[in-house]
Amino acid sequence: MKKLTLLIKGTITEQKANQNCRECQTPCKSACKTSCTIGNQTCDQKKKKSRWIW
Amino acid sequence: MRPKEKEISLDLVKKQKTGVIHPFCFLDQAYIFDSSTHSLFLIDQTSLKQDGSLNLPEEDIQEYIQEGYFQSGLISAQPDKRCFKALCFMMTKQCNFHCAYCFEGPKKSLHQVLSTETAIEALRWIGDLSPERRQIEADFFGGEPLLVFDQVKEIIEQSDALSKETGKKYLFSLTTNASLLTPERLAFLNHHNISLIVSMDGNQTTHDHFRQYANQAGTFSDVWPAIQRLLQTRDGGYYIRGTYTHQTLSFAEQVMWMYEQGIKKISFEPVVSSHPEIGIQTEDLPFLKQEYEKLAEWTVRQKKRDPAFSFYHFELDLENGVCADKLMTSCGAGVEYLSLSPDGQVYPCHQFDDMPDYCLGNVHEKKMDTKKVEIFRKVTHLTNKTACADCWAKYLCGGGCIANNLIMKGSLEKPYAIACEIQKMRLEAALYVQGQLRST
Repeated sequence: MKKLTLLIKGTITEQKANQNCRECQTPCKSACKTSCTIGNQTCDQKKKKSRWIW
Repeated sequence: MRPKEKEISLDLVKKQKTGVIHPFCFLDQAYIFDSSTHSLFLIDQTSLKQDGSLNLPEEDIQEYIQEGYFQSGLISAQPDKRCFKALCFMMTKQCNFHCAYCFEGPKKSLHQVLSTETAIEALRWIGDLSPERRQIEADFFGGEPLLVFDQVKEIIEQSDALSKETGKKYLFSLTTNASLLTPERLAFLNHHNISLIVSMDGNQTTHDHFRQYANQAGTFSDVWPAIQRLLQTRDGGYYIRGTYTHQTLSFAEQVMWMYEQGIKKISFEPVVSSHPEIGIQTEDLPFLKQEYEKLAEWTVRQKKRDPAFSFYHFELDLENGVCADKLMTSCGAGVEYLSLSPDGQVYPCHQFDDMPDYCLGNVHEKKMDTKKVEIFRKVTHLTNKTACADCWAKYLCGGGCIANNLIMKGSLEKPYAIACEIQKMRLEAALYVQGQLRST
């Protein structure tokens, strides 16, 4: 039995292709205000369209 | 140990030390987070030894190494192309609450109000400075922005005309204590799709502990009816944001209480305070770890039943996250984000407001101190954060909040160790939640 199983395949490498379109949100503008993280941010090109900011 | 196995084992130790991989145990599961690809692996618990080292079969590791996992240096430094994206409108520095933990503290120019003209001028200016960007975001902040609701309303209405003129889309949010959120105001904000951040700390006892009027009376009874109205009129576009402190550490039960009341979008964060009786202390960390464990386990159960539930900090986006260049940066203070004061002065973020040394320019003069902006560009980029170089969490955290560094350590560059510890325990909890949601 395998002792190491991939659960979530991150996509950093794929994202290099369309990087830096600059439309993503700045973390400071997130719903957090004082301890924001970059890991919570979604690529604007992959974001579901919504009438709200988040 | 065979020579090849020894080689792999040593390599893993090195990758662990340099933050390329992060093996960790969370509740009853063991994982490896591969920071170079943002991938999460489930491992057999016996493979993670007590001392934190790994004991994995060579063939299992080799397979993934060949597929490109566990590699260092995948994220390389590219030219920094960040541009201004968002504004924080310091509408007024007055507040009808007098919360003892508030980072705003006493301000100068208390009675000034951000005029509609200044706000519109700033939206136009930021748009001019970032011609390539389609949308500009702004948050109505304060003080309490609903104290000057007429200005808020006017800015939102006038932004429509500005949008037609510039071709840019303006997206707004409003941060409020909710006490002045009347049905009419809420209807206006709903109609104009204004996202809301409502500050609230939980049930009445917890909320009233710090969130008080100047006469020390609790504010819960004035806030709660407005939040109930909010929940009746929208199912998204809001976050109820709580603050936990040295005195109110049990935030997990407050999140659970909020959810029982029908609140689905919740964010809870540590207070920013150098006051020893308010700010988080090193001795609070083991308790906080238990809180994040409790909340993570509960979140997995809730999200399986109700996907609409969101605890903001557990919503890590490993599959649709921002691009590699963006992951090299932390908060956008002074580079992507600016706070606008009623007098037209701009600061790197709302926490720098009224600090003359950090004033970056003035909207009326359309002048930006490029030397100061460069300082912020440098301190908010991971290539310059030597303290973060070997940290596994760096591409998730981005290097932390520089305003917190300044408040707690007196320097933009010096990481505030307690914030780092909280960040890491919160990220492990978030990885557990995301892993659990995919493994069953």
